[in-house]
Amino acid sequence: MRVIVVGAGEVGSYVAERLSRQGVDVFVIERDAKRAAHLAETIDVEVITGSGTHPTTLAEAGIDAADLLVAVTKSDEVNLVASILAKQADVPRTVVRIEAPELRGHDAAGLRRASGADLVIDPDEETAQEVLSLIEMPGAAEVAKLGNGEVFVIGARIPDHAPIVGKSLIELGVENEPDWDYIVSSIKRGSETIIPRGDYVIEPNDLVRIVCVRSARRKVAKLVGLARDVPREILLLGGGRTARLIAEKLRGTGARVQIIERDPDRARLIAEKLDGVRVLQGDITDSDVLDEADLPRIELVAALTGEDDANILASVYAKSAGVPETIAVVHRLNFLDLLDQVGVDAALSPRTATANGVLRFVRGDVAQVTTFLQGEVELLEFEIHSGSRADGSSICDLGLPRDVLIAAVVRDGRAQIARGRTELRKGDHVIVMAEPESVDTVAKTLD
Amino acid sequence: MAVTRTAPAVRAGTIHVLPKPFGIGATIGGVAALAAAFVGLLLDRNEALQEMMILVVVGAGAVVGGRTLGRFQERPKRISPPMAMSMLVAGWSGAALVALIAFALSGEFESIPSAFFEAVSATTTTGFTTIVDPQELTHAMRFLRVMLPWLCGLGVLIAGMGVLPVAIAGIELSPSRGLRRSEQLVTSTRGAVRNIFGMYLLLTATLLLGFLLGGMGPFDALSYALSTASTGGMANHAASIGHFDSAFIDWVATIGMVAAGGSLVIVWAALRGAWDSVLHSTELRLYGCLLLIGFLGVWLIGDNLTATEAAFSVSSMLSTTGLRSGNWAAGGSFTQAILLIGAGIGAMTGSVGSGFRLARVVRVALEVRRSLRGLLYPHRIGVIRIDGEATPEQSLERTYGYLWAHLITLTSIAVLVNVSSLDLMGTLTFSLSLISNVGIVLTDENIAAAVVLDRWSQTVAIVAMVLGRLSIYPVLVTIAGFARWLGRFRPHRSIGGS
Repeated sequence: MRVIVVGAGEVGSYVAERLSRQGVDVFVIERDAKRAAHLAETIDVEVITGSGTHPTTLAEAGIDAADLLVAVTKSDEVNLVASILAKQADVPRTVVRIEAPELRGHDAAGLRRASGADLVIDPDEETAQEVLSLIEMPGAAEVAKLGNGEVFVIGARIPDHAPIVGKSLIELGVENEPDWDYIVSSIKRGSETIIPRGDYVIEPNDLVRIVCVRSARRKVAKLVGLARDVPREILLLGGGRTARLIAEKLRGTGARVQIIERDPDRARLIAEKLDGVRVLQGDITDSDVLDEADLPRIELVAALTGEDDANILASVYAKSAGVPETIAVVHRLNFLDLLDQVGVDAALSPRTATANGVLRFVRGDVAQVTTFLQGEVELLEFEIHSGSRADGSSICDLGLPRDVLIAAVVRDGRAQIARGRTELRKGDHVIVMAEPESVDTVAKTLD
Repeated sequence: MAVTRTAPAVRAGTIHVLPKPFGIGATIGGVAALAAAFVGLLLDRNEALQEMMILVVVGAGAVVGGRTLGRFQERPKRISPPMAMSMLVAGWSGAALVALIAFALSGEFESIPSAFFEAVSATTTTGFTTIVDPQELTHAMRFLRVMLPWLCGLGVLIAGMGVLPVAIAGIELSPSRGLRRSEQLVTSTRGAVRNIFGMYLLLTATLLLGFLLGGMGPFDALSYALSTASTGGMANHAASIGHFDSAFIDWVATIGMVAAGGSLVIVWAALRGAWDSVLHSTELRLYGCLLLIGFLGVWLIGDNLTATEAAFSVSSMLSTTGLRSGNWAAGGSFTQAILLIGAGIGAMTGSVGSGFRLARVVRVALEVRRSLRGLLYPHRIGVIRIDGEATPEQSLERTYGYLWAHLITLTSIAVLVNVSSLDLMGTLTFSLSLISNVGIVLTDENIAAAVVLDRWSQTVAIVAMVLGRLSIYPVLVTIAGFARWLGRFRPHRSIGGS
C-alpha cells in the first residue's frame, strides 16, 4: 500500500510514522527543507521537498500508484488543491484537513465535493472532543469511547491511595466475578508499555488503561482513585478554536467557563460570541491574570495554546494554586515525562486526535482506532462479518499473539467484557488492544 | 497655474434629496389642515367660515405643493445615514411650515411667533401651548392641534423605523426573536408602513372607544385619543383630561399612554406570539419596573395623590405624553422628583414617545457596571450584552456621545430659558419638558401646559423642542450639511498665480 502524506507538521509526521510502522510505503511531501530533512532522518519514510499543490512534486512522490493521499498541512487551500490533483491522478481515496469554519460549513459543501475528499478531518474539533471526555472523567489521563459509546477506555496514573494498588490482575478478576464489567488492558510502567497478564501486580504511579462497559465507568474511576465530581468551574487557557468549541459545548451544561486569551481582538471576539463565558485578556503565564481568574475556585484548567512551555508553566502554576485537575495540550512529546513529574494530570496532542481519524480510514476494515500519547499500543474496533474465521469461535481458540487483548464485545448494542470462553458471532463489534505491529495479524484473524 | 478647491459632491447630493421629504412633510401638514377644516365644517358651521376656508386653501395648497415637490426629485441610489437624518429634518420642516401658516392665518394666535411656537409644539408632539383656555378656539383649530402631532408622530415612527436607514445615537431596533424575516414588523418599506400604521390606528381606535365609554363626547374622545396615541399631550381643556373628573377616563388614558410609550416592535412580537422576544426585552422590563416603582413611590411616599393620579402622572411623564389630571404639584417634592426623572428618561425605542429613551438608559447603566467590573477585574473583557446580543462598541460610543450631547443641550436650555415666573423646579421641568417633548411645567404649586414666554425664551424653547424630537444629531448634521452646501457659493481660494 502506498500513501502520500502532504505536510510534515505535527499531524503529518505522526500519521507517517504510524503508517510506516505497519509496513505501509509512506511518501511525505514537505515544503520546508529543514523539516523534510529532519523527518527523513527520524522515521523510515520517503521525503520529497516541495509543494503538495505542484503536479510535478506529486508525480515525484508516485501519485499514479498511490492508494491514499493524506493532505494535512496547516493550509486548508493547499490540502484541497492536493486532493483535487490526487483525484485527477485517479488516487482512490483522499483525506484532507480543513479547519476554517467557512470551509467546513454547508456553504462550502460544493467545494468539498469538488475536491473529491473522502474524509475531512479537523484537529481542533478532535482535540476539543478529547478535552470534553477528560472533563467528564476528572482525574483521568485518557478517556476514549468505542462501540458506539458502550465501551469506555479510562487511562489513569495510579495514586498511592487507589484501591487497585497492590492487586494482581487475577485478584481483580476474582473480585469482578461472575460478570466482569472491566478489564485492565494495558499498563505503562516507566517507559515500557505492556498488555498485562494474570499475575501482574498494579503499583503506584503506573499508567493503567482499563476497558469497561459504560455502566461501570464510575466504579472504575473509584478503583483507580479518581472518584471526583465533574468540574463546574473551568478555566481554558488560550482562546483558539479548540477553546471556543469546548466553551460552546460546556455552556449548555451549567458549567462556569472562563477563557484567558492574549490577543485583545480575539479576546473581545470570543467575549462577544460566547454569552455567559468570562473572558480575560492577558498572558496565560502572567500570575496576575491567572489570579484574577480566581484559581482557588477553579476545578479544572485546560491549557490549550500552541506554546508547550506556556501551557506547562500555566498548568504548574494552577496546580500549585490548588486546582485539582489540569490538562495540557503538548506538541513536543519529549515533554511528556516532565508533565508526569510536575503533576499535570492529563496531556493530549492534536496529532493523536487527528491521526485516529486518518488511521481508521486507512484501515478500512476497522470501525474505530484510538492511539494514545503515551505508549505504543492502539485500541481498535473490528466488526465480525459473515464468513469470518472468528464467527462462531471462542476467543481462546483464535490463536492471537500474546501482545493482543480482546477486551470487550458489543453485541446488539450491549457491551460485555470479553473472556477467553466468549464466543464471537457475526455482527459483533470487538474491541482489541494491540501493538501496531500486530494490527495486521488481528485484522486477518477477525476478517 | 491656479489650483482650485471644490466642495465634495456628496454635500450637493444631500441637499438634492431633501425636496421630496420636505414635500411629504408638507403633505402631512396639509392633510391635517384639511381634516381640521372638515371637522370645522361639521361642528363650527358658519361661526368660523373664514378659518375653514383658510384651512382648506392651506391644506390643499400643501398637499398639491408637497406632491409636486416630490416629482422634481429622482430617487437616490443610496441613502447614507447623514442623508437620512437630513431627510428626517426636511420632512418635519415641511409639516411645521404648513402648521405655522395655518395657525398664523387663522388669527387665533396673538402673534406669528406664538403661532410658530404652537406649530412646533404640535409637530414635535410636545404639547406646550400659548393658549390659556383651548375652549376659546374653534373645533377646527382644536382638532388641528391634535391631528398634527398624530400625523407627525406616525411620520416619525414610519421614517425612523421603516424607511430611513438611520439609527440615531446608537439605538438600533433589533428584529423580534422567534419571528421569520417575513413576519417582522419591519420587512419591506411598504410592509413597515402598513404594519406601523395599522398598529397606530388600532391604539387610537381603542382609546377612542375607551373615552367614549367613559362618557366623553365624540369630538373630545377623538381629540384625546389622537393626543394620547401620539404622546402629543395637546388638550381641548385648560385642565386637560382632569376636566372630566372621571377615574375611568383617567385609567383609559393611563393605559393608552403606557402603550404609546411602549415599543411597537415589542407589541408586534406579542401580537404575533413571539413571547421569547417580549419576555427577554431588557428595555421592556426596565419600562415596567420604572412605571411600577414610580407609581408606588408617588402613591405611597408622595403626598395627597390617589392611586389613579399616581399612575396617570407617572405614565404621562415617562411616556412623554404630557396629559394632565389633577394637580401633581400637591404631591410634594418627592413626587416632583420622581416625575422629573420620568420625563428625563422618556419612552421606549420604537415608540412615538420622546426623551433620552430607555434603550440608552440601559446602555449607560450597563456601561457603569462594566466600568466598575473593570476596576475589580482589570483583565476581564467586558461586553455589554442586551437581550442576549453583544452590543458593538461603535454603537455604544455613539450612545455615550449622545448622552453628552443631550446633557449639554439640556443644561444650555436650562440656562438660556429665562422664564421669570418659574421657580427652580419649574425651570428644570420646563427644560426637561422641552427636550423630552412632554409639554408640562411642574412648579412647587401648580402644573400647566400653557406658558407665557418672552421672544427669547420662545425661540430657545422652539429650538429645544426640535432638538428633542429629532434626537439632536439630525438637526446638527443638517445644519452642517447646509453650511457646507452654502460654502460652494463662496469664491474659491486660489493657490499660486496664473
